[in-house]
Amino acid sequence: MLPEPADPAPETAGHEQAEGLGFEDLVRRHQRMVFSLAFHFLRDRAVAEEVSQDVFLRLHRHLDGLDLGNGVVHWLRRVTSNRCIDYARQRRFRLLSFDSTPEPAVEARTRDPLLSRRLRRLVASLPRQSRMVVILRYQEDLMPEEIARILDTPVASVKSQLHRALRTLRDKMLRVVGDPR
Amino acid sequence: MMRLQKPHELDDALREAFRRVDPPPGFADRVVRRASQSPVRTTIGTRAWLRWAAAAVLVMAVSGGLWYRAEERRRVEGEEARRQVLLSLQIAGSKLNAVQMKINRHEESRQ
Repeated sequence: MLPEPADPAPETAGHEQAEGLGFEDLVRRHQRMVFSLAFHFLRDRAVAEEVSQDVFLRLHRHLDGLDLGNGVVHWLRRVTSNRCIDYARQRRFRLLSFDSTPEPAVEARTRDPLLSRRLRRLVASLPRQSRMVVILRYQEDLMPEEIARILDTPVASVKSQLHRALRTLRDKMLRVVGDPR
Repeated sequence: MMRLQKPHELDDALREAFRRVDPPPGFADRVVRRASQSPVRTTIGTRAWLRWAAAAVLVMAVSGGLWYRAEERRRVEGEEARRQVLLSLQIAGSKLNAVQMKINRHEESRQ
């Protein structure tokens, strides 16, 4: 099996062209990004794999007619985000509550696992669109303008969703650990 | 647990919490295998084919219906014309009979 190439740097990924890359190369190059978006949003490994596979199969189907001028990474982020939100909407993928939600089996190695787990649970309790905004902002390190293009939403709406989400997270975190003031 | 007192601490903690994770082992191979089997293409192809077939059947059904209706109208009109010709002949025949009877009566009175 071929070694899996590392993910491209986020700042260059948006300008990457798929020209010259085969479908398999594209899958191997972007699988972490697509799977992580789905996994962080849906918090279910099997469902995230299903959604991610669907995204890549769509890419395969549209590869010939795809406008590669905008970059395949943008296309993948856009389709994955929309697919996740649609999936959550259609299947009524509800989290019982952030306290009763089982933590996904796969956990990235973090400096403070308890804090990371708490934050992921709190983000999971946000409305669908806000949840995706937060994940795109912090997983992909995207600016509100780029998130707005991906979600086809006004920039002002993304900024306000992000602001509200961060305020909610901060408030809830303070409630959990106690206000130091 | 960190108290996230400063704004950038929450940003950093979120970046940490939402770092990319590895997909399950063999994920890429499974995707490539599915794509090479082209289930989606096949499904889409079949769906497209079915759509075209349904459209063709619909066009044929509509055309057939229109043709049948036109033929039926032509048949009804033909029958009506035939009926009118027969009626005309019938009327003409009865007129001829009447004239013939008059001639016969006239000849009998002369004799």
